[in-house]
Amino acid sequence: MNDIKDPKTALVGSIQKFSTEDGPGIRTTVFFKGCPLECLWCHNPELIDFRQQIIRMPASCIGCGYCIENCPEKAIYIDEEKKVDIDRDLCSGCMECVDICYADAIRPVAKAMTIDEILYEVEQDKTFYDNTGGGMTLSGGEMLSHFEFVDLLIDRAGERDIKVCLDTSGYGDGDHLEKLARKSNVERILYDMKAIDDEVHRKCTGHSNEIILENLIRLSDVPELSEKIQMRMPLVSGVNDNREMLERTADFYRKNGIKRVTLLPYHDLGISKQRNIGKEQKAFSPPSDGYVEEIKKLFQERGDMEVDILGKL
Amino acid sequence: MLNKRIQRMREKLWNTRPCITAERLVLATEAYKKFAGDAIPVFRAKVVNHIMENMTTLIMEDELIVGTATNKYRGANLHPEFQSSSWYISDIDEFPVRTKDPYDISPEDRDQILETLKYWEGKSMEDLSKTALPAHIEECIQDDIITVGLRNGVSGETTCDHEKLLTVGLKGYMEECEKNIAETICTCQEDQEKINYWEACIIQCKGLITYAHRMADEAEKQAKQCKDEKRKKELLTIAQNCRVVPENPPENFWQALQMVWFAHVYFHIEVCTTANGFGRFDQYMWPFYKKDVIDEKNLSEEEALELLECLYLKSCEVYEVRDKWYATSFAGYPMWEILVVGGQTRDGKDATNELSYVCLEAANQLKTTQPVMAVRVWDGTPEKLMRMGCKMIQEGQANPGFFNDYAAMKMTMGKGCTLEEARDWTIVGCIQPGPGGGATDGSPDAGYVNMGKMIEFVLHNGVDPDTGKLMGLQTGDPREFKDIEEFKDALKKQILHHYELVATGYRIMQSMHMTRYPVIFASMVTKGCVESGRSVQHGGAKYSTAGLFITGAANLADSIVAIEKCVFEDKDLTMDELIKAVDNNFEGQERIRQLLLNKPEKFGNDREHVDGVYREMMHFIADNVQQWPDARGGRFSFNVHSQTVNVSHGMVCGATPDGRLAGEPFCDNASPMMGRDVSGPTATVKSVASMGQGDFHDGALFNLRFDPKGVEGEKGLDSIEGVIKTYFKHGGEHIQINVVDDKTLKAAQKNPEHYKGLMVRVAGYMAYFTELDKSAQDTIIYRTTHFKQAEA
Repeated sequence: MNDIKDPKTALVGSIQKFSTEDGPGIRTTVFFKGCPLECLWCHNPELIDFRQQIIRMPASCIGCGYCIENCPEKAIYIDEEKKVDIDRDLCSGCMECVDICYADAIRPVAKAMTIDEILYEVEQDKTFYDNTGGGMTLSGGEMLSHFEFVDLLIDRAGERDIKVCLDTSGYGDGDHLEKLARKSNVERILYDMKAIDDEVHRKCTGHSNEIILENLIRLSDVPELSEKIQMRMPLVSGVNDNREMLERTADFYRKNGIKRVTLLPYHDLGISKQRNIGKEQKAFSPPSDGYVEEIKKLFQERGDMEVDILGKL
Repeated sequence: MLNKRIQRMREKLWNTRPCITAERLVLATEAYKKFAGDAIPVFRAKVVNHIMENMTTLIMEDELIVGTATNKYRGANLHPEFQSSSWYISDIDEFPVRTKDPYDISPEDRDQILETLKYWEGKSMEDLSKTALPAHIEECIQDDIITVGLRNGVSGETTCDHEKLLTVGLKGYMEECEKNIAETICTCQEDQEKINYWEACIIQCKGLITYAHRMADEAEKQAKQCKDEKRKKELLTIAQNCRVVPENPPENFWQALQMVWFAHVYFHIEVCTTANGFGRFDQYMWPFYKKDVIDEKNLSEEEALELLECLYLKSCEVYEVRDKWYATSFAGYPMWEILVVGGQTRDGKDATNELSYVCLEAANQLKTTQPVMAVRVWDGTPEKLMRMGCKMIQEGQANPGFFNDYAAMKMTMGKGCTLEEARDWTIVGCIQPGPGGGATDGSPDAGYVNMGKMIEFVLHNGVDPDTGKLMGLQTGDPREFKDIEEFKDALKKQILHHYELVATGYRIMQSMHMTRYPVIFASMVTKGCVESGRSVQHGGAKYSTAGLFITGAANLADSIVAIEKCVFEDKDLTMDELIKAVDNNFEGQERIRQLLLNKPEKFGNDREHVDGVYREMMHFIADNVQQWPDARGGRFSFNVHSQTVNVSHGMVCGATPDGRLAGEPFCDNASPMMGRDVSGPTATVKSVASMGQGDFHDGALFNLRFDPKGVEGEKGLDSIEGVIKTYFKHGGEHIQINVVDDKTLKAAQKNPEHYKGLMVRVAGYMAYFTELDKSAQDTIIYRTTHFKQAEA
């Protein structure tokens, strides 16, 4: 597959309007493709790889077989559920099948978009932002990995009086992050915390959390940036919801003056997407509702924080 | 929250099936035989007067507001003057068992009905219309290409001038008529007709007063026998109320409510009417509420609320019996009794008052299908009122609907009124704004044109592929068309031609109504009629309009763009291949259907091009038809509005180039085609708002459905409000929001009795979901779900 070399474009998985769980008000979320972490439970696994990929959509497949006949590598076949599937070892990524699939059952994961193209879509909902205090959220994948692009995108949004939320894992260049965070139209930073324990973090994401914690401290040390921080914590039962670790997390937040946290109990929507790009994802389970409430209390009491719970199905 | 009395009354409502009764039919028939020979309006007035003198006086347990249109609770009248006795007779055993809007009939009523209907064979408006309309128009109606209104219903959709009614009482109207008669010296037929009309008004006023006095007698009789002191006192007050109103202006809030209800009962006894709205209720009732509740404290807030709820429950007791076709097309016993709150005063100030909130609260507590609440919104609307409405939406009540003052004012001014009258606009019909509270006769339903058929005619050079008959214009072989403009031109010719057929047919029907069934009472209480001595049928109302409707508006735009993209631009297939594919309902060609579905833009996704095509086509229709006069000197007005005729019209239409399969319903009203708006509700809202509704004099009806998850909590309220305000900012007139999920609806289908209170709005009215038949329920379940599961 081709790397997108042109810095004027970025690979965008989707632009989702009427997002109501990605910051204040009615928002439009831009999902960038590519993330340096590989969380076991990732719910957007098709946005991990920085390169273009093909995703199949079995529910849309009408079984016409046209793609099978036309695939130069003979990489496409019909699975036991009579839906199209791709042998990823044979696929050369030529995209021939994508062009001829009228049912949109085989699609590119992302689209290379210019800043103007993105802003056109985002600006369409400007009146909704004005009426509800909403705006644009940059998410992914990891938006920080597209620094040059988002740097400019945020400024151009500012010229149009559009407020921005950053949704980030914090795993990236600290200077970059701080530069984005300092922008006057960046109103909120949704900052992920997968695990405060480095060993757990490595197990879950394949990487150390050292940079993440460093970056978080760096932002929280600046009062006007600290105010913008909203922690987001995916909670996966038996993986990163250990009480002792969460207590440490709460203490850490408190020490660094962090005021808001959103709990995101695990859901399994990532599994089918992972399968549809030709990989398998392990199934996990969310903590019980009761335990999530306990965790909420823990952050409220021990961390003196505002806590909400989102992302439940 | 509801008090015990109202709870009992609502339980009774929910546990009683509507029924058809014989009484009005029998009395009207007697009167027809007795009074034949009088000038038509006088004759009609005497018929109604005879009913009022003899009908059962029914006062039921717990009632505080009294008066029924029939002799039984939840009873429906038959009107053989308008509707054909032939289907009354043929369907008589089907009414109780039919799936759509069933009615029970007792064995005694059944026998009486059959016996009495013998007199009416071939006499109804519906029977006469069959030979009155030119053969080609009749054939188009039979083939579901168009509809022509007034064939089996009353002409005139009026929202009464309640303010005058409450100020002068019927006494005032009678004096005015007498004075007019005294001052008129007949010099021509027209003068005599005026006198006849005024005389008829006087007779009808007397009829209603007689009925009220008979109700007073009944209340006194019941009071005498009543052992419960509290109820006894109530009955005596009811009796006293009935002696004061409707003859005299009401003296207090309770009497004012009773007066309003008497007028509404009468509308339904005189003719088989619908959509007699309550108008700007919080405005004309305000002086009475203020005096009793706020200034003199004769009534507590709770007592006033209870009385108001009694009126609301009354409004659930009126019906129009419909045949099978109309029961499908207007499912859920809708009566379009709209009650408007908020908005502006005539001098441009905010009109919201304490009663506005009480009106919403009563609806919030009752959760009945009538009256339908409408909140007028402008820049000065208090946040509290907006929030209260949004909260009701959030709870899944699908009530109130919201209306944009600015768009509605533009529409009403398009009808020729002054700025003051425009600010005083109210709904006449279900979403159609009429100038100056009570000054408009918005003759309903002049007719619908089936856009699917228009596409089929262009694709087949005028031939209806369903019947093989040449029904449309011969606009040429589409295979020879060079570009999409030629295709659009052909479509425009077909569309305009068929609206002309509707207008021609409608004028014929209007003329028949003028000479046979002038509506006396509803005209009298409409501004202009007493002054001019003419009924609304004769153009007596200050403003007269006739609504032209449309089915398949989004399918039309989507089909044009699909052909433009796939045939002319990208040449994925030829016109010939496209025609063959739709003719075969895409059998064996699902791939082609997927192409048409997925490649071209679809209306409802905030896409400039297709939204532009939609706008162009709607404006083409509106700009033309709104120039046309109707038979009484009014004008036709266009609205993007299908009710549920989209189901009936879709049923007879083959597959269309937008990928819709044969027989599938068309889009719902002004909404995108079901399932084609995939960009979320904000995009849908912007597309629908972008059609330039202000230029359609009767507006556009927009249903939007939210998943409850998308509107949870305080933030959800912000979202609902934000969506409404944004829709209005971009020019939308009306929006109604359903917040229910598919799971709830499916559960309701399986276990209806646990979901009796579950309401849905179906095209401008509300219905109990469980009272709809399965196909209508399925449509609602599959209607666009606007909250995509969060991807991140």
